[in-house]
Amino acid sequence: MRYLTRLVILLSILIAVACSGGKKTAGQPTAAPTGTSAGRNGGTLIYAAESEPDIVNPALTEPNIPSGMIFRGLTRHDQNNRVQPDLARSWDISPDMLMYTFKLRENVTWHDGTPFTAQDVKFTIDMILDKSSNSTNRQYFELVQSVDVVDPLTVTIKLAQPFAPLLDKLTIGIVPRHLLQGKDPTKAEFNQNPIGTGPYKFTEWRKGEFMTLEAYDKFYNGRPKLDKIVIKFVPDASQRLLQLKNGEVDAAFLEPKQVDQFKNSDKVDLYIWPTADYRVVMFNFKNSLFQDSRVRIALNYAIDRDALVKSVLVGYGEPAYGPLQKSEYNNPDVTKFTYDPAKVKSLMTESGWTQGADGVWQKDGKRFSVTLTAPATDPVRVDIANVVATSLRANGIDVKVDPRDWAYIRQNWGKLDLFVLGWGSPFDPDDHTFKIFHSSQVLDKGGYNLGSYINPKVDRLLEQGRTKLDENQRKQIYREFQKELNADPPYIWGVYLQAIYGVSKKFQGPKQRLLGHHGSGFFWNVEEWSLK
Amino acid sequence: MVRYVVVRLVEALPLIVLLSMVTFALLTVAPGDPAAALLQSRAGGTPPRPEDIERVRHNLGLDRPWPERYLRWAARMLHGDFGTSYLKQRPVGAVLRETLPPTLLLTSTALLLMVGLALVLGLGAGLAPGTWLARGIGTLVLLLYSAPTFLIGLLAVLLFSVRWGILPSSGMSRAGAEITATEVLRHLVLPALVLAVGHHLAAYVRLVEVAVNDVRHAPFVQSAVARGLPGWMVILWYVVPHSLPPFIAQLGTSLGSLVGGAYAVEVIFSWPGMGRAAMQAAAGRDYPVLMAVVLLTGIVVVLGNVLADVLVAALDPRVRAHWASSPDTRVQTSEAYGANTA
Repeated sequence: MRYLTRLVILLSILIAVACSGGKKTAGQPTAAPTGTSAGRNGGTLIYAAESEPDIVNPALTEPNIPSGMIFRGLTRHDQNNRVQPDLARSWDISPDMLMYTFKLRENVTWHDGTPFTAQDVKFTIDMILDKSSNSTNRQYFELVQSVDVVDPLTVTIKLAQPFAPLLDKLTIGIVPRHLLQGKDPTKAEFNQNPIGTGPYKFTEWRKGEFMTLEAYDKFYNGRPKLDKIVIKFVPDASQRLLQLKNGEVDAAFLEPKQVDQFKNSDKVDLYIWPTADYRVVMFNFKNSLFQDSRVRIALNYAIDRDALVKSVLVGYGEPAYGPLQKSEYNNPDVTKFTYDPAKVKSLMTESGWTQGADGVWQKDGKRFSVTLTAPATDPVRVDIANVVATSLRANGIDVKVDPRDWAYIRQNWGKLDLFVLGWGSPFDPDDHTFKIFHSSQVLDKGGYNLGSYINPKVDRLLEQGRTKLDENQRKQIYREFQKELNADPPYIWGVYLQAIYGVSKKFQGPKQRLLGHHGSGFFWNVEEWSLK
Repeated sequence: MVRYVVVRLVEALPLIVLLSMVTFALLTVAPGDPAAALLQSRAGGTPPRPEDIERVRHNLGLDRPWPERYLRWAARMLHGDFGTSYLKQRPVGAVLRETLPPTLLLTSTALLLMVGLALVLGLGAGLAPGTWLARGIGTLVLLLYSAPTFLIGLLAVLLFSVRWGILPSSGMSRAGAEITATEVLRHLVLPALVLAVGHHLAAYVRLVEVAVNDVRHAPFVQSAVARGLPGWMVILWYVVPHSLPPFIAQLGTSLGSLVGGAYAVEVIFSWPGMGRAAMQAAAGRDYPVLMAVVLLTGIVVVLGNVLADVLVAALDPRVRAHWASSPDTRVQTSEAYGANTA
């Protein structure tokens, strides 16, 4: 791993050297033009992807770029990340919120020509729930009691408890029963030759190199405009930059430090979009140091978030103050922690800590000494850890930064003190809140509440949030939740990231949307993309 | 001679078995959990829930004791079944069938390039000792020898792909296009060249140079010159063959590092070979793929050594005689020639 890191650093330096001497212009990045003209049909777009999926099967994995283009779900997120009908034309929800009846769209076909039916829907959800399928999506459907086919175009889903985010979860791609039935889904050849109902159909996957998709003529919403999309796997960030520069690829995900290369470029448009992806420092509540909420609030005042954005993210981000900050469910009136050493002092003193001769806080003969762990493979998180540690040290906290590999971290969640964590979903407010803050989801119960945060009021609000359908009511609930969260902080809030994509000026069509983790969702409207 | 080959091959068998056991044991004690790695990779980097890890561990059979897992693996291996990749959930055999040919293409091309370069440079330096040419060659190969492969690789990309734009920087073919021989060749040039010069070229040049120096004034060469044979004929007929045995012995012993070097080069150039697959498998704790790659690499190295010994025996009458006279005192040729990769 160290070898790879060195390699990346070296390549960056070399490229910086190679490209110095080129013109350098200051100024704000311009939002790329969103094409308004109709655009021409045809053409091939080559995208440099960071990683190659092992399998393409939306039932078994989180969405990835190819699965998002090949498959469609019952519902779909629009530009505002609100749920809209997709393979389902409409739905009814029973008053007790336990029974959902979906009417499916007619004349939808799989890429092999077979009609799409309710059987496929039942098959997909059953596969996700099947414990032997190794699906990472099981967590989203655990409240589903049964899926029943009423007729070929009607399907019902019965829930054990009300679950408002169900429609949001049903954006998950549906897979074809006729190709997977009776097969072990984990080993099916299908996972390497996927067939869906989406705008692009799979044509070739040259392992280790690229995957080719072609426009599906009979896509229910009309043939997409671009003829062909090639997803080229280029794991190295500097290689992606280089290939976008010399035209080997047409689009790529860029690092903040690479943006300068494309400012005022006559070949590449930059798309710098907000994301719901945040980085925070997680408190492990198993450590008695963090029991007192005043201490946690004090630590929140000990961080300069603007400096974090400026130094680590080169300006491409913003300070964070809550988990729903970028959502329409945001409560802008919560406590926003700023850098305030005086408050740190008063809060720490209030909770019984005194500063020793070395400047470090002490209580009952115990120094405030902690380790801040970060995944070593994620340079942004390691940078955040270093900047945060410097800031904490200046405020009397003895911090040791400890970059570790994921294998170590996954085995030692319960033993960490502080950890640079990343979450944040652009979708339903229940996503990335219930599963990470509710007490039923704590680490020891096998859940995602990795810091074992327990707050009965937060529990109650999160439960209400997922059992109410009315939007205004939900907004009220989640506002209250965010307020409580900052009165009893689970994290030292850090920063929200922006995602940066470079796309050749030959193409138009990307429409700005709030993106997810690592800039996911950039291709949400790919069927509208075209040549200029 | 046949007996010699057979004995060497039979000797290699327990080595391979031992290699498989050690690798398996190392993977078992190494930190990291394949089930967790699989889930995290599928969830786009989000760490998995402990609950899900348990479920997948069970499904993959990782909750069984390791001796049982090793025996199951070994039993399947003996039936020619490499098992199923955890991450890709495809037969490992299929993964190898895809990745082995590119690796073989890359290494064999690099090997040819290296042998050619070493002979030319070694002869050049050996035939004209003390001249600016010899010193120049010495400096060049020393520089290449000292620089790590990845640095040479990146410099090559910088020059040939970025500055001059004459060769592609990565991959084996043009993305989205049909595979054509010319395209593959164009993509092959940089990685093969980097692997060739980055891999101990200096040592081989030196070997050839020293051997040439040694035999240049040997009586049989002098007599060939005296008989009035043209210079090129003397070199090809008398000098080159005598400089080959140490060279080949060296090749055999360092085949392993050539393959290792190929893995680094594959990562730099996104070459879709076994090395890249192994790196991904290591990062994702994909033990079945790792086991297969390590084992295959081990077999290649062992076979390479045997082949080198046989070739040396064929080229050098002294070794042949040694073996024929008494198998017990036979010379391990690679040692005899003091092959030293250092």
